[in-house]
Amino acid sequence: MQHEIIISGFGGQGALFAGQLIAYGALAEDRHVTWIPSYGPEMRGGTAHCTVIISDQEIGSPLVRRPTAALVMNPPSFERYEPAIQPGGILVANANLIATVSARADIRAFAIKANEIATEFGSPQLANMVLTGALVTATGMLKLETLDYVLNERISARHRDKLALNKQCLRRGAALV
Amino acid sequence: MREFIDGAEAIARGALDAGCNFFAGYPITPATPIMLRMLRELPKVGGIGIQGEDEIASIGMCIGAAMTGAKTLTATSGPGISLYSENIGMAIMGEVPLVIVDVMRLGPATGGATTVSQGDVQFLRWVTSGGFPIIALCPSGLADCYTLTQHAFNLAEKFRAPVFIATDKEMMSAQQSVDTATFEKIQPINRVYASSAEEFVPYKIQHLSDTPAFAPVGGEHLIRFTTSMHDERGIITKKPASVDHKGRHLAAKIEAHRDELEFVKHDPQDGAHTLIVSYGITARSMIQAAHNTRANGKRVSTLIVQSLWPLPEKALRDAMRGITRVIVPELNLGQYRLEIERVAHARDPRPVVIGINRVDGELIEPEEIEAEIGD
Repeated sequence: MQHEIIISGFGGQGALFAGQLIAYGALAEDRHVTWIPSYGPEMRGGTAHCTVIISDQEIGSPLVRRPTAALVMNPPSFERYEPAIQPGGILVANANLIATVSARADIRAFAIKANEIATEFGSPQLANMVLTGALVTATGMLKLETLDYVLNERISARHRDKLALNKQCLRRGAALV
Repeated sequence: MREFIDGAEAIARGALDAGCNFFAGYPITPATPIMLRMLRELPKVGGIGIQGEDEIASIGMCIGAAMTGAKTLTATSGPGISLYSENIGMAIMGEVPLVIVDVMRLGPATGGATTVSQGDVQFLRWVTSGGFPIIALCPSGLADCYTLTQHAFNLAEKFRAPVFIATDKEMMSAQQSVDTATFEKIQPINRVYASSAEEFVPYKIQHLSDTPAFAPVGGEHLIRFTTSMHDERGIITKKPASVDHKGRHLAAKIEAHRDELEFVKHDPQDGAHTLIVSYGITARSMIQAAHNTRANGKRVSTLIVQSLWPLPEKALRDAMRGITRVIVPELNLGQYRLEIERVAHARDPRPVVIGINRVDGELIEPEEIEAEIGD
């Protein structure tokens, strides 16, 4: 099984970090993984997305044209990647910023009010964790506990006080799919 | 050991294992990660890492350090190579061992700072005034980043010349799980030092294709170093015989050793009439395309060029035996295809050479190559 994932949003929404979290999770589960970031020259704002491939076999080309799953955090990302998802694939969208709902019958789509939920936890920046929890659970690509382990290992000193909140947001998102 | 690393990390490790003990550079996307790693790691091994005040100062420091005996690395992107250009000429003229990484991004000018490209291929070949040969290696994977960086240092030492590593944004910033224990370690080569017993003549050689013995600035010998045309003693000259000797030597010391400078990965398939030639990140799509094509029962051969300059002509000629079509995918408008055509057109019958080119900031996809392979 090969998971080909695109995670996309505005710069600053945590798309690249969400991808790193998943990638390190895959590494911890002894899978093959690639992570490619793509972003504009801006420090904040602009667009940012990353592609992650998780596979049980050696990965050839790290390109993802038709993802098996997409996590989209803003309307331009929805417009670009919702149509590209493979039939049978999964869409996780931030419903607080994306008013459109997927009309595709051949994918499983989840619209999650991630900003609202993260704000309930006291930290709107954690919307990416809510969505990541949903994505990982809906696809079954990794165990949530593996992401806990990666967070323990890799969260920066600056954000370590939010370690427990990150894990709670992952679980809240996981419960929504 | 399974790790999750990017090309910048693999290049930095290759440099350190090759004995690199000096780095100077100035931040530029997408080359900065190499600088950050070198600044972090060099002090741990007793080396020196400097963030210079700009590109011109940084390469100047590298040249100075190299002339004291250091093994030096610098890393930048295309706009930085523009600023390095004059001093690269100085390194060629002064016969300075130096490794320069060009992390290619979309140009010209500021271009696409965070966008992949292979647009500097001919720029690196003709990077400074005067038109002398240079050496440029080009990794297409993490293991390559590590191994070719070591080769780059060895070639710089051996030929006392600047050696490029031509890579790109995706090679540097994409992370991949990889068993780093399988990376190939190369035995480091050190430049030949002048004997202390004999009188030192800075650029003395027996044959045009020799590389002169080195003596460090600050050592026991008197050193002369000039960017101007000079004789064997390092003294400025206009004497036609001395000028001719120096010019032909700078070319011959590389051209006469082309066989040692050919690095390719040839994957021929019996009975294939199509050959794909690619390099760098684009070679990854080529390998995937060849894999898919062969799985469909069709035949295709591939050649990854790991040494862009000098052009690996012998390997290209060998790979073209029995080939009627050559496909050259690259992220520019056909810069390397011109070279492939030159080799192809010297053959009888002539293979057709076809380019697949993108300059939209996206990578060439395996499907685009498969479509060109056809039936």
